[in-house]
Amino acid sequence: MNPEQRLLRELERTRGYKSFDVDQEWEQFLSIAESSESSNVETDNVRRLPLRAIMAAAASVIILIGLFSLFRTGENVNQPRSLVEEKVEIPQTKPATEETVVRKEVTQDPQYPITSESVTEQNAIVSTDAPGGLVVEGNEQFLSTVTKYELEMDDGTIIAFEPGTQAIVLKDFKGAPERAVKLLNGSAIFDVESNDRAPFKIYTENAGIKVLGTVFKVEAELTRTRVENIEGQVSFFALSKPNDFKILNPGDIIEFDGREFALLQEGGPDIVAKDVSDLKIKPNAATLNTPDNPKLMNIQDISERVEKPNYTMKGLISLFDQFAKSKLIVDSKKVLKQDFTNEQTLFIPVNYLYSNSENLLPLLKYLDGIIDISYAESDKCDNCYQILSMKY
Amino acid sequence: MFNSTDTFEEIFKQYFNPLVNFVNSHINNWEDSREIVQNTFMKIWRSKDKVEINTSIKAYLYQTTRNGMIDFIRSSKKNATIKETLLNEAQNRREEEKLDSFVIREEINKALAQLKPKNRQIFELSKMEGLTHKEIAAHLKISVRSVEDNINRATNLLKEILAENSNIYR
Repeated sequence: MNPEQRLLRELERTRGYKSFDVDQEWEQFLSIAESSESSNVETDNVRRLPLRAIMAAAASVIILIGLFSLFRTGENVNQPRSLVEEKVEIPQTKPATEETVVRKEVTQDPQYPITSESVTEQNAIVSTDAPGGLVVEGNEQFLSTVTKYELEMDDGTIIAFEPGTQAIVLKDFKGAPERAVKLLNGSAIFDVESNDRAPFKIYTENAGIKVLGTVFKVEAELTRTRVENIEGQVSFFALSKPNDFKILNPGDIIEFDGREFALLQEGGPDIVAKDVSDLKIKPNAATLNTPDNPKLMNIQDISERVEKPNYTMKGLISLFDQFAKSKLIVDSKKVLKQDFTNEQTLFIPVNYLYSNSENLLPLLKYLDGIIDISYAESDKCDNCYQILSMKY
Repeated sequence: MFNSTDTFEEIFKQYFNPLVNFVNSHINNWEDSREIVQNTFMKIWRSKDKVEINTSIKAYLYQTTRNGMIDFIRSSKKNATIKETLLNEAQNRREEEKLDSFVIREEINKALAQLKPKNRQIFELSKMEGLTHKEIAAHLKISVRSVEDNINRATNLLKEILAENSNIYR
């Protein structure tokens, strides 16, 4: 396309383009920004006066109790109250006025004093003041990511959000009866710390996921929710029928489109490889001649290598634990504890892991999507393989 | 990222109109679009001392504006199709490219503003209104040759602008 054609295309694409006077817009913006800043200073001054702060807190409690009673009427008792209240009816005319009232009261909650309207940390906006019609209450925070963003909760749970994800997350998981996240849009990998007393639940527009301690990925987009389980078991249900849940095993991917569930992938260590040649493993020339490992193979040479998902170290350890429980590998605890270095590099020496090839080969194939791994046939048992090294 | 108010002002003035036009292309309401973009800049302004942007300014503004737009649509229960467009990841990339178009258009407008009124009028009648050179000549009572010269002059200037924006143009 030559420059003139490009010019015409741009003019065509932007037909009806309107230019506002940016100098005037900037003046207006600056005046609002400055008045907003001065009102924040005033708010800070109010906080320093104990009596007024107590009165404000008391007023907050009264209003919050009122709001609680109001919202309680239409509440689904199976879900955490405020995290599912995105559907609360917001008046269509001038919603900002009412919204501001709600937000103001929340920000004056003495337990969760607001520090600023929004706190931006590394490319994610974490705010106690969600825009639009979202109601964020005391122990909740609204989160909107611009790039990848990892949130480590106080109970050790790690949530890795993809860019462009919006979610409401409790500020503190410790002590919460239910560790809940509302995924409004986007996707995240959840590496959940086990806690039998406080189940971990994720809500999307119309679906819920319940786990006790595991690693899995959730994607939400309008009425579509997709769950990819990596380790442990996950229960996946429609909010309209919480008792009719689906159980996901490691490697399973299930999607709910708002009406029904579809199993997109049945996977994990249960996949059985047909034979070694199926894995397209080439001999590693550098080490092939080592007398101790005559048949060493390097799985990194697999030609159809896919990009490795960004799993956390903790997730990997959980994965190994799961495999150990399934008797697919042995001595996982010993190996993992001995060789886990500060650089997040995991080297597992020869002989620590071995298993029957029927189980091990599909396992290795599965692991290859997560870590760098090399292994060789072993003479420790018939048809045995040993893990030679792993690097994460 | 925003070292000073001057830097922020520069970015505000550069992107305000493209962003407003971008939002308006979805919600078809100039006043709401202005408000959404003003709010977007306000959010960034309030956290300007803390924010670290690893992506480009344009990508960051796009993402933040998109978030603001989704919230607006959600709160005002606007057309679900718009929301669907904004939430669709593949669409999302195309939408960001659409913002590029508006950024270029803003540059074109600034360049047009530098042209002499008559020159600009002739260019707009030709490229935007679709009149033939002959029609323009008759309308303005000038020669066809003069129309062509004016159009060439304006087009060359605008081509230069497009070339300068080649880094954002795909």
